[in-house]
Amino acid sequence: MSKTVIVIGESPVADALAERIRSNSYEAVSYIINETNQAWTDILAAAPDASLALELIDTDLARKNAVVSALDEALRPDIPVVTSILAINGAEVASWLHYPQRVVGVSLLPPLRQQTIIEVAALPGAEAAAEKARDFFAGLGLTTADIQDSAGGVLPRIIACLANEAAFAMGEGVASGADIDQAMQLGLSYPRGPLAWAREIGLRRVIAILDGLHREMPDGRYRVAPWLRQQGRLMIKD
Amino acid sequence: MSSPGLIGVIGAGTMGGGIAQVALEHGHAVRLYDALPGAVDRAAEKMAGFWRRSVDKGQRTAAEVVAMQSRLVPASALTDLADCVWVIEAAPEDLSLKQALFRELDQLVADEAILASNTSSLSITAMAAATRRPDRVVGMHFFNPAPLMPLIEVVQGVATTETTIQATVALAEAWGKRPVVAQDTPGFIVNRVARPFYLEALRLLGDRVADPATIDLIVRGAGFRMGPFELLDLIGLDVNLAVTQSVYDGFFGEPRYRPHPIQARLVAAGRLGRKTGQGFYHYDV
Repeated sequence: MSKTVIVIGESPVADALAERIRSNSYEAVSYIINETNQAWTDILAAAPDASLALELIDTDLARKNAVVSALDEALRPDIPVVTSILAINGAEVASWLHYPQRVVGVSLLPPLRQQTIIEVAALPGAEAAAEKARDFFAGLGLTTADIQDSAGGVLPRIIACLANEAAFAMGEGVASGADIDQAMQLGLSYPRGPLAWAREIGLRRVIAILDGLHREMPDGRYRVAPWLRQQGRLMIKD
Repeated sequence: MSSPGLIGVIGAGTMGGGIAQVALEHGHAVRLYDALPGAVDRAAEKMAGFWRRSVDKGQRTAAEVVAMQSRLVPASALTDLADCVWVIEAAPEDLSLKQALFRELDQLVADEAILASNTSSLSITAMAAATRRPDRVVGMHFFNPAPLMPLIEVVQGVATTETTIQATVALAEAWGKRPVVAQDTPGFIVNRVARPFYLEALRLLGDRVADPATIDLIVRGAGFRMGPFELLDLIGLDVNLAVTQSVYDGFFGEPRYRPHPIQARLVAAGRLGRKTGQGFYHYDV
């Protein structure tokens, strides 16, 4: 059974997983978006032998589509594509493919801790792929939990909304960002302040999670706070 | 340095008793008032128990405890607080009740005295407007249990001056607390920013994305001490719902804060959490 795994994504979760995969004697062929020294051709060369692909693009859904569609052509039909559902649900990703039953949704946030629970969303008719994904994560010493396919999963949705609420409060002048983070840690023992956590996740990723929720549920609950939206625009690179 | 001033505390429940304890532990004399007969005695007993345990642990001497207890003076009427330089009210969360208290206190205490409210959900500005000293009315929002939790939200009403804020910050720091200044808005910082922790969990449950145990497991895996549903059961579904409703109303129906029907239904069923043996989870009493 091949020990080659493809990892495509944006730091930091993709990095952390690629690292973990390598330290568990897999060969991880990774393409970390925004780093220019990896070659997409390496991915295509490795694809026919790969036993699994992890695709963790959240902030550029057009690129996600292009990448997943290319993987669909290059991977054997029975190979699972484990796709991040932070900003879009797994069913929509599956709808882009010739082999939709290979798609498994995954949801997790940085930092990757020992106690981190990897949320796995099986799609209807794609239980075999989900089972392979669960086994794969278990083989890395990671714990999974089954959820229904839903953009934002469980934890990313909660944290993004906490960060958004903190951003609203800060933008409205209720308190400083540093004070808001301190208050949540001291008052409710949050493991980290929402704004600091958002920076760790990546502000554009947080915005992508909220925009994904807003697309699914456009009643205004998930509109991005003005300060956060502005930060995202100021950060546009490549 | 002059000895710490006389502190008045209104309300001898969990929060009022805790606040009085903090003041006593930092050298103040405290006048503690509660409209309910026996409430002050019960608060004093609770403090005695807490301090007895701290003596057993070697954190305090018995002599220190006697000294603190001697500085706690039960007040039988609001008028007994006339000499207080600082009054902190922790009465039930009822705006007209608090405004009436503030109106009366305003007449009783010296002009320079500061009137503080431990309210978690009501407007400091509205309370201040019942007095002739809105510049010296401030929020001092403690967290439960007050003697142990370091955070105090210092809430600035529309008319509260920087001088009052600085004095409140200084008092909080003198009491070993970490004050954080917030503007007078619904939920201040903590109760507002925390809403999604509960509401998104409820929406996930409502949409059947995962069950309470799975959601709690996932959230704890990220480093939270408790997941949203076990925390709701601990806080009390009714208490939490009231806070959500208060923030929702305070922001005139902003959809982000909309309470969830699942929680309303459980509250209607009397399934309030640990205190009733059943919330999202079952508890053997």
